[in-house]
Amino acid sequence: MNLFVTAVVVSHDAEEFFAATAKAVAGQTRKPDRILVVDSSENDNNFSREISVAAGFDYVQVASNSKLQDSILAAIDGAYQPGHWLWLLHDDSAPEPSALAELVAAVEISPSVAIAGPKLVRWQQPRIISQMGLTLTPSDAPFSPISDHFDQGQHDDVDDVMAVGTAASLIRLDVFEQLGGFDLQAPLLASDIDFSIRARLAGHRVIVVPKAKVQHAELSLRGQRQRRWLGASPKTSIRRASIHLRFAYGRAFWLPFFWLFLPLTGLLRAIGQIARKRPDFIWAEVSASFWGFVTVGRRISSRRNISRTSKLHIRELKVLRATGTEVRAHRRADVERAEAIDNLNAFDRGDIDGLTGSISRGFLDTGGFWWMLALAVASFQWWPRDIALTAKGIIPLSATWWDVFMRAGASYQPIGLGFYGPSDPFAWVLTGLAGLTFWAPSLSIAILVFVVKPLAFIGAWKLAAQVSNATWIRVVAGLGFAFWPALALAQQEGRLSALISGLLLPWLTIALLRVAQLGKTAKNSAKSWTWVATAGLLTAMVGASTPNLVPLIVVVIVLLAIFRVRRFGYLIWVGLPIAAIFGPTTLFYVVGLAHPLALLADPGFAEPSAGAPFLSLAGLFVCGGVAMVALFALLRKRVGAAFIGWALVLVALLAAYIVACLKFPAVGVGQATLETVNGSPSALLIGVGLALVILVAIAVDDIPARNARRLIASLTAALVVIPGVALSFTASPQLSYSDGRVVPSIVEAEATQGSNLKLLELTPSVDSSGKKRLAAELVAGDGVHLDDLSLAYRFSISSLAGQKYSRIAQLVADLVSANGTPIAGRLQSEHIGYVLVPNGASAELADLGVALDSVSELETVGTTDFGRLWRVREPQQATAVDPSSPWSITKGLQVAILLGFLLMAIPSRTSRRRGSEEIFIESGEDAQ
Amino acid sequence: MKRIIALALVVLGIASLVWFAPKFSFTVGELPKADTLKVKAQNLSLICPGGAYQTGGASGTKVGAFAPVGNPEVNSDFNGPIGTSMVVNGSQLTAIDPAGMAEQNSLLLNANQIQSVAADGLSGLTGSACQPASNNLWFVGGDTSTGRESLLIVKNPTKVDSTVSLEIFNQRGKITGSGMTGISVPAGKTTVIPLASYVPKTNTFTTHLISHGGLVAAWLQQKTIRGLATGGVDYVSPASEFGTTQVIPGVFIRGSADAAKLSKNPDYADLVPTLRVFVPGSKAATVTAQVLGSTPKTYGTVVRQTIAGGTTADIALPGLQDGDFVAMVKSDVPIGSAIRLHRVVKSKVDFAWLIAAQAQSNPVAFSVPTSGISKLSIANPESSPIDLNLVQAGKAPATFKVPADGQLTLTFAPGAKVQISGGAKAIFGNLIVDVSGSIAAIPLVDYKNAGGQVDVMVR
Repeated sequence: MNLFVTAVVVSHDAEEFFAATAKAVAGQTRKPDRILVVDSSENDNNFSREISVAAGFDYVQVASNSKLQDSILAAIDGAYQPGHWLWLLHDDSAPEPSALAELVAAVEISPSVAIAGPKLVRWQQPRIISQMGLTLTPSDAPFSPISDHFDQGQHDDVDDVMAVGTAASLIRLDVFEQLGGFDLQAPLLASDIDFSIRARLAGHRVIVVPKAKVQHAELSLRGQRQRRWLGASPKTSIRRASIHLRFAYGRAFWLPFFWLFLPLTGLLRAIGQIARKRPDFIWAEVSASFWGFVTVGRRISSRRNISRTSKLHIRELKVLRATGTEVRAHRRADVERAEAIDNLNAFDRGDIDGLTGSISRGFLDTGGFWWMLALAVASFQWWPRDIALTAKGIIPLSATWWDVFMRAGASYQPIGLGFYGPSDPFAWVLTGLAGLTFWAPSLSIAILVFVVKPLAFIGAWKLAAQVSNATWIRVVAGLGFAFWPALALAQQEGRLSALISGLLLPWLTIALLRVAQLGKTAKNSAKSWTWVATAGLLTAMVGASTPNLVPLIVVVIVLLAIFRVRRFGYLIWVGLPIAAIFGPTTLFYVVGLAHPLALLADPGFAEPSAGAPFLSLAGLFVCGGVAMVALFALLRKRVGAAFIGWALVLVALLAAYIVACLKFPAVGVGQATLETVNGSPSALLIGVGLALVILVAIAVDDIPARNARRLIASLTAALVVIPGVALSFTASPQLSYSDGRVVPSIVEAEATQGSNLKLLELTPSVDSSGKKRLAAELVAGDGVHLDDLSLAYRFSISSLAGQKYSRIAQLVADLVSANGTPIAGRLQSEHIGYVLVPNGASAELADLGVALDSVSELETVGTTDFGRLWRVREPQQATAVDPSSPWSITKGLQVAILLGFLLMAIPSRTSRRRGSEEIFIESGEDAQ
Repeated sequence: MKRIIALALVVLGIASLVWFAPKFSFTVGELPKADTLKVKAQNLSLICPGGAYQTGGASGTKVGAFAPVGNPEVNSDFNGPIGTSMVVNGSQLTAIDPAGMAEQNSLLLNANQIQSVAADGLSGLTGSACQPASNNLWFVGGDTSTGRESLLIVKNPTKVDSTVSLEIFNQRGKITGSGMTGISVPAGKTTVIPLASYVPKTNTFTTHLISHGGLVAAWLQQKTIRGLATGGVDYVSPASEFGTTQVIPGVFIRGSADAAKLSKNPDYADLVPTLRVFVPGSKAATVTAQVLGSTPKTYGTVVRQTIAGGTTADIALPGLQDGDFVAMVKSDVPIGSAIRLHRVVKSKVDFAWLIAAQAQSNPVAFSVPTSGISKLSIANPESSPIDLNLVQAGKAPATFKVPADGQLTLTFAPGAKVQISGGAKAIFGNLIVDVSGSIAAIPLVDYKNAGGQVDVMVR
């Protein structure tokens, strides 16, 4: 059969590729009968024209916004005679010399073939197959069953396929006319599949000719064409194609449901993409779903187009569809291939030092568990003796996890007399912590304080593993940090926020190193998003717990971005969670209150801290020992890393000094006796400790003198560990355990039964000028919990004076003067049910008790764990429910971002399954 | 070289931090201010003991019943400004001050009562200052040995029920026993508590009363019967604030010769003036009591004793002849003290419990009973004399010198309304009343209720 082949090369602003394609077309062993260049380029440099003319090609210029269909129509100009074929070439598809010959040979022997596609291979790597036919998944999504396979001829038996791409495909022109060409309603990436399927449904064959090879640069899919070419980003275009094909070929019965739930499906698929660590697909999923939802009419119209030419039903093409198993296997292979490639790239860069050095043993293999157990035993004083811990800086959390969660991110704080302002970002940390023991939220804090030393040990051990392979060095670093005086002091004093930050700092450092692909155990970038998410969440938790660490973390991230410019794209996302949870607070402090430094205030219970030199003499002695060894790191071969470490130590010490000199208002709910509180340097000092023990690890790692190692190990342990251990045994914790109540049981019981009466807590105090005053705190019946505390309230309280506050103040004044002024009505209108005066032996407390005893509107309940309690004889429950919702737009956004990061931080199934299959074995402790 | 430079830089950095870090303090944000509110003080209300209580009720035979007998003589003085008034409700006197403008002290209202009791088994002169209600009262006095009766009379003048707890400390320490807590004193009622229920046959003890709920006023009514003869009755008034120096003025010894004769009878062995000392803390007190005479002819005495913490001790003060004395009791730790003083006229015996006087730094007013002879004993524990300014209604103001480490006795006409002050110095006084050879002691008390300004910080 003598075929007439018109080769149409569509050129669109890809000059370099067009030149190669034109040359390849011209060099075909079976010359096309006509070669026509359809130029839709936007630039007007006539490059395509010049090449075409030089090669003797016909040339047609079309409008730059022309669609593929327009270009083809312009090319064939109504020549639909039988025996005429169209060889459709993109400007980025360069055929090998025999490609057309093979295609023609294939169609010549199979008259039923209407479309024949080549084996598309990569532009730069012609041994890699990029596409050999297309099909649909069971959910009607486009699917390339053979892609990115190394071409060993293993797929050369492929023949019939459901569809082929348009790149270098040979199309029978009469069929093209019969089918009406490409569907103009279909998005570009769906139009080729749609066209092939319609050909199939019309009774024609669509085949792949493996011997016909075409190098395809896939400029559209790689986003190297102008966005207008696809009408959206490649990811969005692919998803749009899926949605269109679903509407076009899905079962009609399900289409209304598909359409109705399309926006929701988009959201769920976006979440799924997050779980797959592909946040770059979120927008594609959401926007494409919305696009499909609003353009449903055009999608449905395609079904009419299909039915017009169809002789078969799509069901009859089932054998050509991909099965679910094939799709899953293909995706898994994609991920593993990507990981392998990244590993190869990392290896090329020399990032994976572990490959070239000795492989150290893991944490458990080296007895890490026993060290942790020993440290837990050494922490027996902190063993939780009840479900809630109370210390200088810790009070119990609310009774249920939901109550704790309601405070996080809320714009309304039900404290004092009600307050509109952002909740502390620390509330998110408490929510996460409380979730660990959701049945008894406070228990998580008690357990955390108990396991501070074991957790500090494992954190420092893991971080030390980034700089040393020697187990003893890691153990020394772990123990040095576990017994670091600032950490021990924070544990004794119950500085919860500093403890949380201190324990998370090693993991945050590891995560940041992983994101920046630094350290001995740098992972492949397939897990980059997992580490980005982990680092983001840890940054948010550390920053929310101890805001004064945020500047230091920012410095570290900036340094990492400078040293690892390539990773900037990842590092930038690390800040998203903390930006989300700090956004409202920052706005409130900077714009609302004009006190930007308020951002540095410590959340939680106001607790004064010692100024410089921060620690006792014994504590300073311990620190001195560690610092002395750490100084030797500057004399070792990794002087650069040591210098940066020491620079961070000095910056942290300076920050600690400055922070301790700042004073913040302490007056707020839950704290009655302090007027101001200074910033806590605790977390910064713990960070200093972590940096120093790592510097110690650098200092003593890999010492060449074998004989001296034992001596050095002994000396290091003597200087770094033993003094800290000795110091810790002299300490006595200042804490107590309870059942979690923060108000007398009778008040709690009433609140539990639905009472919304308030508790008026009166505490004599002294202001900064030495003047005595009475602190009056009006709280909900179940009292003030740790999650109720609000920094924003503390900073705003000076501006909250109002009629209601004055009313309460006057009521309190009349109460404590016991002057017989009628107060029953006022107690009722404020819905006060109880009055509490803290226990104590001061004369002020005694006088207060005497006065309240004399108030006929009150009756004495007695002395309780929390103070002397009076009950209002005839209280009045509030009938109106507080209209303020604990939910808000900002909270919704914060939840979405945090959950998204959490989802991404969870290791993917593929990553978990890696085990022995992975190409490179990492340092033992990190092999999962 | 690179390493040495790095090391030098780090060491330099550390040194700079240690030596050059400037000291500063910066407050972020505004500190909240408390609302300063004017509040009206509680109306000054004084509660008097009322008639002495007789065991056995009105019939004297009903077990566990106590009934007041007789009508005491209440002497009061009200000097309220315009707009104020005094309301008498039973044994309660209240200065009504709707505007809350009047300064509250004894100049506004003071009151005391005396009662010559002559009932079956109850005879003698009782006297006491009327007192504002309180929740914490100490009674250094009392005796429940054979023939002695100690009744704690607790009045609740408020509208709030009160629950009273007792702590009793004898020679050996704190008494433990059932029924000492949760003693109910309903609003507006009086509860009489026989202390022999808790400390039977005990001649030395101190009682601590703590009330919860409504405030109470309380007195310890002490009675003596020797065989079939009555041996006197009096109130032990609430003790003044404990301290390392206690001054007990008004130790007027009369009939010492008769007392000496009677003392030969074992039933009258307790006629010797006795100092009772209570050491409230856990630390032992070394107590030195000086009994100083008012004239060179009245010789006093000095006793010294160590008393264990948490115990009560009686120290006899023998050898005191007739005369006016003042006791200065000093200790190395805070103590409470009182003196039991007998008045013997031939075979008739009465007694009084003189509590350590409250230091009066401001002018204090009192009313002199219309019965008997009333003498005010003013003591000066300082080493320099004090000018005592005295104002009596209808008389010209006068000034007297109270000698250093001594006392001054002033006799007043019955019914006199008196105001005294020691200028800038504190004075200590007890009013001793003698009605027909019976004796009673009325302490000088200043009164004050909280009022004025209250700073409230609502959070």
